[in-house]
Amino acid sequence: MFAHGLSIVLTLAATLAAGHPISASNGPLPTFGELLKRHHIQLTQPALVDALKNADPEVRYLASQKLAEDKATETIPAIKDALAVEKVPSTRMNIAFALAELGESTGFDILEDNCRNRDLGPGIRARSAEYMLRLDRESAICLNAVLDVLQTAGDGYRAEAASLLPRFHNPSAEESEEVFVTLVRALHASGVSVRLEAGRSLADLGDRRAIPELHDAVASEQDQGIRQQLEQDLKLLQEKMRR
Amino acid sequence: MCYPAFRVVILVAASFLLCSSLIRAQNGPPVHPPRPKVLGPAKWDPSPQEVSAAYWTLEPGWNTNVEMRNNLGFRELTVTPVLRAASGKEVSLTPVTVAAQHVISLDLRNLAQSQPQILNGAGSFGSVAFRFSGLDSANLFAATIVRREGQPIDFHFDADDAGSPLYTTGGIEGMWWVPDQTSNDYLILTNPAEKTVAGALILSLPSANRRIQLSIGPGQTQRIDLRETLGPSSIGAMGGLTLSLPGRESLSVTQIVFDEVTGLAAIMKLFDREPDDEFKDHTLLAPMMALSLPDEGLGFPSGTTLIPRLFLRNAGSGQAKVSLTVDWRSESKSGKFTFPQSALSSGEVRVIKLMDQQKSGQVPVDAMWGTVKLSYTGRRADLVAVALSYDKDNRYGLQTPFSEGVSRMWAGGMWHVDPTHNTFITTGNAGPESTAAEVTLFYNGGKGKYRLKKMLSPGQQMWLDIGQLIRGQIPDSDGHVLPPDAMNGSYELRDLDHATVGQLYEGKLVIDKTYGHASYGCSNCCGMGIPSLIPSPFGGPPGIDNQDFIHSTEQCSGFVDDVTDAGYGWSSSNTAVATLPTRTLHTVAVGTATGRAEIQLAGTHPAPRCPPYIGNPQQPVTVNKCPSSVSIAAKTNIPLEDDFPTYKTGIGMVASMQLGPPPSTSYNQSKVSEALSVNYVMQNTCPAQYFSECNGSATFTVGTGGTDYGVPFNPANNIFYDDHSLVNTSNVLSQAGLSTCTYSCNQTYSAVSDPSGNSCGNANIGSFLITYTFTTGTIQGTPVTRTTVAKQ
Repeated sequence: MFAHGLSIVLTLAATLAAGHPISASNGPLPTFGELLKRHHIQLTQPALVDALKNADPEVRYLASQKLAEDKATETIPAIKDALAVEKVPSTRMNIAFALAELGESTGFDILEDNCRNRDLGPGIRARSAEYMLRLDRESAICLNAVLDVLQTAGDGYRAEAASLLPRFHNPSAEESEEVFVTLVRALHASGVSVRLEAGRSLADLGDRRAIPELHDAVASEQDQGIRQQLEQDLKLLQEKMRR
Repeated sequence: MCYPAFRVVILVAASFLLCSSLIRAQNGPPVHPPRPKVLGPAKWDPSPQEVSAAYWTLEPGWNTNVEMRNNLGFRELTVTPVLRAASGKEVSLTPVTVAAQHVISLDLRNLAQSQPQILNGAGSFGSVAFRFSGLDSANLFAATIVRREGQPIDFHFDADDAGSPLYTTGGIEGMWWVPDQTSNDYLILTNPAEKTVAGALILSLPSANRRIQLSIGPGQTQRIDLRETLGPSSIGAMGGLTLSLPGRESLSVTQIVFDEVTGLAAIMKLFDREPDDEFKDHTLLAPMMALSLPDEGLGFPSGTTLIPRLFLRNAGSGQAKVSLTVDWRSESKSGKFTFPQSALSSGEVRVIKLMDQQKSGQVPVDAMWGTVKLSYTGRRADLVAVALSYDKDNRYGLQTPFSEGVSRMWAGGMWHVDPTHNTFITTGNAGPESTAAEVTLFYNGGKGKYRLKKMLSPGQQMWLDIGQLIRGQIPDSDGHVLPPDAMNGSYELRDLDHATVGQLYEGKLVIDKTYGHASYGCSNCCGMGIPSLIPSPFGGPPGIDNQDFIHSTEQCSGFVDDVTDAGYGWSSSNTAVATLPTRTLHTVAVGTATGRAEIQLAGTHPAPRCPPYIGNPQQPVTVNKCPSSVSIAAKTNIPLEDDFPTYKTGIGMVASMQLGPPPSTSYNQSKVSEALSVNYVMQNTCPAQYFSECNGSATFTVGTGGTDYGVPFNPANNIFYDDHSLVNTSNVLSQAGLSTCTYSCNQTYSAVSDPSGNSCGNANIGSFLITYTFTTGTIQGTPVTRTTVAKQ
């Protein structure tokens, strides 16, 4: 992926022995326009269409996003052309997302294809599913992709997948059960970040059956800070059940 | 005595809020609004206050008590009594702290022992200023009780806010009276203001009028012995008294008649004129007139017969037609007697003996008390009236003053009950409809309350013999009784059904059985301060309804009342922006307007009149598109894998924050700010030298997109994105020697401005807890520090 373009450095004091300070971003995101200006791209429509062919993949997707933000539907053919020739998976996904934002079915199709395609990395599959959810498109294919990522990927993607599952609001009964079971299993994952996200997602799902599971997770958690968060998840779920 | 005569209000400062007369709006005041709700004490923002009592004396044979009642319902008052000598020179006494609703009485002769210059001298008299820090001068009821030692002679002088430059006067009318060659008639004129007041006193005699020029300096008191001034021809006579004040400055003026030989003590009540007054109907009430047969409670010797008399003077320029009724009551009965209408020619003085009606049976012989009502059409003070009931020797008797005053609330002074004292308190309904009256007696330093409620039909009176209430252990409306050893306290009267402009009159008699004398005491009428339309200013989005309130502060007690139900004439200056047809403010479209309402209230000033006024509270209205809430719509995790191997620590989460309530149009382009602080409740196990803490004060623009670590976030309606991520090129936990650590931040969002840039006042719209958890892991076999961010 691309490095953060405009991170507000808040902690200058925490300089490590290696000489690398922690950069904390807290606040608004850099806008597409700001980032494009840093690449010396004008924000006029012709300049943005031109930027869709820029050598830098970051510029290409930023240009497509800026056109989508501007609701420049007349540039859809140009964006489609860019998509057709795009080879970088993440850039292709982000350009597809821009098309989907403009209401283009091609964009949604590409995103759903991404979910389906096991040859793509778990990051692309999970992110494509997340983009679909952001645009209120619930796809069984993407739900399955997320479940697959949660069960098979590395910890970072597993945690991301766990956090996505409660955002699927209309799964079938069978899918719901699979979501629940997979999250409960993830609650006992070796990766702490997976356990944390699974705990929070179980609380968000609001399934009463998760209460004893969270109790068990709290009881077996060795780290006090993690345990405190699992306890919060349990409390959140219990409160939800009382309402 | 009650109040001396003085002044009329010119509410210059408040004129922009008040109407000059009681003009009814198109939809007038509600007829029977529900009783107001007491909301609590007003904000304590005190300023210097002063009230002034017209007379004190420590001349040989005389003494004065100073009485102070704290009308505030929720805190003590510290009062400094300041004696002004006749010369105007001031002598401050020790400040006194009075508890809420408590009343204290101080013996001035005792207090003045350390001030020999004001004891027993020829000029040892003057006026008293009571200075304190409060919300309103009505927070304090103060009075002086001037007493001839060893005789049935005493007078009450209630303090008021005389001397205020807000008040002007059209002059004063009265009557002089020298009943006997041993009688004295003192006219006492005090200037509480800071500039000299000039005027002329005109005394009417059968032969010719006497004119006396007056000039009274600041703080000075001038006492005129009218018997001496008028000469021997005045003995046994009575005449008119007019004080002309061409500069319209107010003076505090009172007149007392006493006879050290017979024991007579009478206040010759003075009536103040209003400048530029017009003809209208007036009704004067004297609520506690003793009739021929004295009430046993007065303690007069058996066989005493009183001669109830009314002294009337037509001070107007034309004939006055006066209607007179007496509502009488005996031990077991009550009734009304209406006299034939009397016509008084200009300047005429007439004495009406009510005893004649008792002798003729028109009023029962055993009737003990009467409320006398006089009605005429003319200007204020065109009719001067004094009521007096003394026996034939002028030894035993009492008085009741005439007044036009009716009020929603009266804060009374001190009641006494002991083997030699008793107190009667009365209140009556002078209005055209029934009302619930409530009398509250405070005792035990203002901490104890005894309340009696009674529905009073028009003309009906409620009469309390406090000695009897204590001796009989009579329960109040709540079932409480007064302690048998209760001996004094304060009191108040409330018109519960007409709580904004009341219709109760009042009276109090304190009976001193030692000398066989009863003295009348008045109360402070308590009005309400300038009303406010709440909330003011109002700011909110289009398409909502807001319940407005009208609040007003009770000027005596300092409590804020919700008087919304008495409001009327609700309106908006711009109905395209907001409508206000009732108390419900409805916002229509972005813009500004002014909400208005009207309300009829009784004011406090000038005491004791509590004149009604129409308040016109206003409310600036800004209809904007400000959000009032924020919630988490979605959380998008960004895994470290996305940016590995550039970073070996990170990344975090982007929160999609949704504004509410759901608007009719969007909040896009609104500005929202954040404030962050460390949360000390949650575990904080991350070393500060490695991890940032909770810093940030960013401003977000709603409805804009952006990118975080290569993940685009599309612009979405009513959404702003908040980034919570951290990165480092090294594996931070490894360097810190930890496997996990956690810290948490409190985050608060504030609405800065709406889409049009209208200020939202930085209103707090939501708070969240952000928890950062750092855990060790590996990516492609390389140790890393993962960041997990929870927000709730």
